[in-house]
Amino acid sequence: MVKSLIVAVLALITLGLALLDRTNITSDDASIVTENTPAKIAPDVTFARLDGGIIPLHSLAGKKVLLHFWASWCAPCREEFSTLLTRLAKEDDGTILLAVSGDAKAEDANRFLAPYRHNFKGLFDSGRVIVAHDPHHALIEGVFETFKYPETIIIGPDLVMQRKIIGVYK
Amino acid sequence: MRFFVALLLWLSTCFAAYADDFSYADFARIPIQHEGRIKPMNTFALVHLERFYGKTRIDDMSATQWLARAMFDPAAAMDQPLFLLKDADAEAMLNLPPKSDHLYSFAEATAAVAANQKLMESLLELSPPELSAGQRAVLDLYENTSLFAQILLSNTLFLHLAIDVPVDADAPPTAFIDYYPYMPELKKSLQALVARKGMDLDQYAPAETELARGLNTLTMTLENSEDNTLLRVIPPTWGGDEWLSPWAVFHSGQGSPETAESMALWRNLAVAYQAHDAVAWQEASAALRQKAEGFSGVRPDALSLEMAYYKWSPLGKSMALYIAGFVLTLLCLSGLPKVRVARLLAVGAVGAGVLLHFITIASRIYILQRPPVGTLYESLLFVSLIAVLFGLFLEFRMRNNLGLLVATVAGSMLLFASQSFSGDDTMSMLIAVLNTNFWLATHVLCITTGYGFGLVAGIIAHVYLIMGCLRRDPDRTLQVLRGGYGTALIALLFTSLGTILGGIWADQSWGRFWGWDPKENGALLICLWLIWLLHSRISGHFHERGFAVGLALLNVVIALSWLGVNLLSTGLHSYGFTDKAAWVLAAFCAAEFLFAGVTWCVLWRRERG
Amino acid sequence: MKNSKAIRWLSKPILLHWLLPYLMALVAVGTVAQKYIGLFDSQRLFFSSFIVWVGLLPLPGGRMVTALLLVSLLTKLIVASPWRKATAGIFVAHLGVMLLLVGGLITAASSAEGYVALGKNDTASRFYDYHQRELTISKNGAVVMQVPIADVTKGKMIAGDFPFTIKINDVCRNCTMANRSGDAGDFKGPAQKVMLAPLEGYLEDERNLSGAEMTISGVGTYIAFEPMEHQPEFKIGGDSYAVTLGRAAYALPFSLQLLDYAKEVHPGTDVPRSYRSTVLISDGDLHQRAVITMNHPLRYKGYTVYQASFNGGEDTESVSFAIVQNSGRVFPYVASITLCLGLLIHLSLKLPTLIRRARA
Repeated sequence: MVKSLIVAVLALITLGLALLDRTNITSDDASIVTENTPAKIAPDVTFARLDGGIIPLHSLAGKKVLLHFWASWCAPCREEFSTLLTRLAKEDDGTILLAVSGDAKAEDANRFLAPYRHNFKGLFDSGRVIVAHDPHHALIEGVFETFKYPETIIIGPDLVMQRKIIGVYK
Repeated sequence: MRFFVALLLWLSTCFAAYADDFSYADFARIPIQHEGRIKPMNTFALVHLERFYGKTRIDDMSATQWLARAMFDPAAAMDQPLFLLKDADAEAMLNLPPKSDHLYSFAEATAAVAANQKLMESLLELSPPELSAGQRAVLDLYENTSLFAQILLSNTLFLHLAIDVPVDADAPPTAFIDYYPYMPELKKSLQALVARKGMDLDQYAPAETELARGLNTLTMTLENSEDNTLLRVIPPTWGGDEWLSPWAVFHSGQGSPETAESMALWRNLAVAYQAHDAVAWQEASAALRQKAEGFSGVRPDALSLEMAYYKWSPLGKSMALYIAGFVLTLLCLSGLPKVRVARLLAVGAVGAGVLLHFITIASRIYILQRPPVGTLYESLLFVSLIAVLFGLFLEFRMRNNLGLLVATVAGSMLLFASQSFSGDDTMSMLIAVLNTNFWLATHVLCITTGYGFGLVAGIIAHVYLIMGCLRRDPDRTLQVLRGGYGTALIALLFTSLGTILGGIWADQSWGRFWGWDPKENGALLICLWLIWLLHSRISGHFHERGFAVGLALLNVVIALSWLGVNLLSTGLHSYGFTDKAAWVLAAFCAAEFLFAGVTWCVLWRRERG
Repeated sequence: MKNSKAIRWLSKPILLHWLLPYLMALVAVGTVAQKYIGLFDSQRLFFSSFIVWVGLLPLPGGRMVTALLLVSLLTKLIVASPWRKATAGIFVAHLGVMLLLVGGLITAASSAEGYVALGKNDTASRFYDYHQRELTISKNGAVVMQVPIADVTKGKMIAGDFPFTIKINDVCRNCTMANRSGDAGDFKGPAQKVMLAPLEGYLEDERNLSGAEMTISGVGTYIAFEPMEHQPEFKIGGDSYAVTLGRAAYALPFSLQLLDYAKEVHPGTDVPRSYRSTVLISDGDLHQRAVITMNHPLRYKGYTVYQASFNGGEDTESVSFAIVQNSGRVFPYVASITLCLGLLIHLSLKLPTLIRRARA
């Protein structure tokens, strides 16, 4: 009696497991895990404009800002500037390019910009391109830790630093 | 070659500074990401000092003090005898002057390595099993010097440079990071200078020489920093989970306002150290520590626990207590007076040892956030805990000192064995296939429990054989063997279940239940051995003597299957081994065979005669 | 029948008493041998074989020992043991062991195991054996004949449903290429410039690169070498034929497409933390996405697809999947439950007695 019981139980277990094995596709759901990083608000700094005056970063709230660091002696910066200005011209959403120069001398920066001021006159005049100057790199290096050019930080209308493009914008 | 010479030249241009009587409590707790895990600076220092030097203190400095000096006063750290090189062949290969303490400073070691570049290249081409001990020692030295170079250069971004080149800045520049923005101008000035006066330094005015020298230093600093990634203390701002070293932030463009804050704090730390300012050092390290504890992924409690773990070293104390317990138990068994006191002390010692042992394992679980069975070292810790706990249980039931004997022998021997398998950082991250998985955890826990019980059974068998040879009371002797028999049954339950669970894990993970892997075969051997002993005892083919000897040899089977498979270095289960471990294992097996043979003969002769 | 001498002898415990140490010795020797001849060969020689030849002396191999153990267990349980409550635990435990052995034999007889490597967006409806190589002859893209490598021997003539014969001039298990000197003669394709030279085999059989030199009647002499892209191809009467030497291929009753994959490393190291692939299963009208990660395989229609490894290279990255079909899969699970139950029952019956006796 006992032995038949044992055998029966075992047979049931085997059958059960064998059936389980025949099931169709079993696997985990593909779930995308979103990183819960706290929003990084851009620091409240004030840049000195290349042609005089100041521009506080937070005064640009409400618009998307491309905070772009460059210097006249940086070779890829030429191509990058063209790319950025072309994009800006195409996009109609009022994005502002805040281009901060790390040149020691203002003349070098102005010399670099001359062709762009000519070709993209509309953008420069409408105020969608603001050029700032930080000869001692107090903000470029001290606050933003940019050591090499070009680098661009994309800042949203809510002043959140969304992402950083290191090198040339592709 | 150029790199090493440049490195030495550079290092000599820093201002020398020597500091002591600083408070390192905060600095030691600063988190750093190393080998995939966030650990306190203290562990980072200990791991590297042990790796280079073999001990946890050097010249009266703690590991953390040593690390701080290497990081912030590299010129001084360069000349300290640090690298332990015992192999005479290695010394000869590198043309190093033999030393009585076998210690070489970074300067000496690097010079030797640089002078033997071709040798290094040829050694790197060989595969690890082909290397002789001397060649391995040479390669180790090469690797160690590279690692130490990373540490020495990690903070050169902030360290005070002994150059004096005027630039148009608000504040006079002192470190590379201050000079960097002006490098393009300085290069232009130097080019103009060379155009005017040529390359002959004798023609230059002192200021011009300084310009050339300064720019050279700056350029070399930059060049030597490109691969400096070891000191990962700055968490990423722009995504990912790889922390960055200060130089890596510089080179990779991952800078942001957050990293700027961290870098500023590190700079304060460097400046404070170089200026020998204890107050500033204390403030800077406290500020850094506080900031770092807020980084995501950092658990301050785990960091403090890890600091305490290495400071108090509960495992070492536990082992000492087990050894003390063993001595006391022997006293109990020897029949001397005051046995009751000895017994109480023995139980106390083992109890305290178990508590510390348990604390060790619990701490590891909290720090690493995984079950304590990932590496060979951890399995040794776990098995010894099981064996000691069961020994105490036996003592509680049988009250004849057998349990105490088992617990103390198992505890001391296994913890002693674990020293040979400790490696660099015993708290390491596991490879993908071993990452937390239900079947794996149950398999390893089960089988290590089985090993624990098996070792206890083996020790009991030893006691039986000794008692038999010493002609102790036959009834009590038999009683002991019965204890061994029961323990062997429990061991069989766990090892067979554990082996099958291992097969199930393998089936779940890569599709085959059994692959005749050395580790699988080893586990099978233990099961077969136990089955053989138990079956043959039941059927009468083994008498008590044979059964006892077989059970005593179970220890050899377990040791070979658990630790010895690494010697074969094949299959999925090889964790790596050290020469020392192989010798210890061989000696152990030889001793056991001798014991088994001798006791067998003694008992056999007695039965016949 | 029950009392026949043979059955009685098979159920005697003395058989186990001698069989077990022999099995242990076999396992020990087979394990140490792996260091010298590699896992695959050691497995074949010692564990999967019926006979192990030591010089001229035939000794039982792994399969024979397993069979003997099974028979011995069966006869003992059915014939010799009285069924009592006291031995219930042991009985159940032994039943578990038997199930394990039976499962092992079923797996050995009927399982198929292989791998397939897919780059992003690649689709596969076949998988490949790890070790077995074969010579495949196809006509206009369709496979006409598959010859296992064991049958590809020097001097052999292969003929089939195709208008030519293949004469094998030379074959090597592990080959390397050497420059051919002299004139091209009858050699075609790469065979004009290179020839195959045998090389000592690797311990890991997977690394061996097999090759063969063959003369195709009426066409020319070619070499077929595993890693070479240009395997022999030629046209006869408007049909294009190809003769390929590669891993034996098995068909899957469905197709698998790799959609995406990711390999995570522990931060700051090279040590892999996890592998994850997203695949699309297509079977007639069924198109479904599934995620395969390390330790979480995909099961479909009796096949199990495991995440094996990630091959990152300079130009190409691919993901390797291990594919297993095993009818005996269930047995170890049932066996372990049974064994565990049996030993627990036995222990709970025996242990109080033992401890009581030990205390007395």
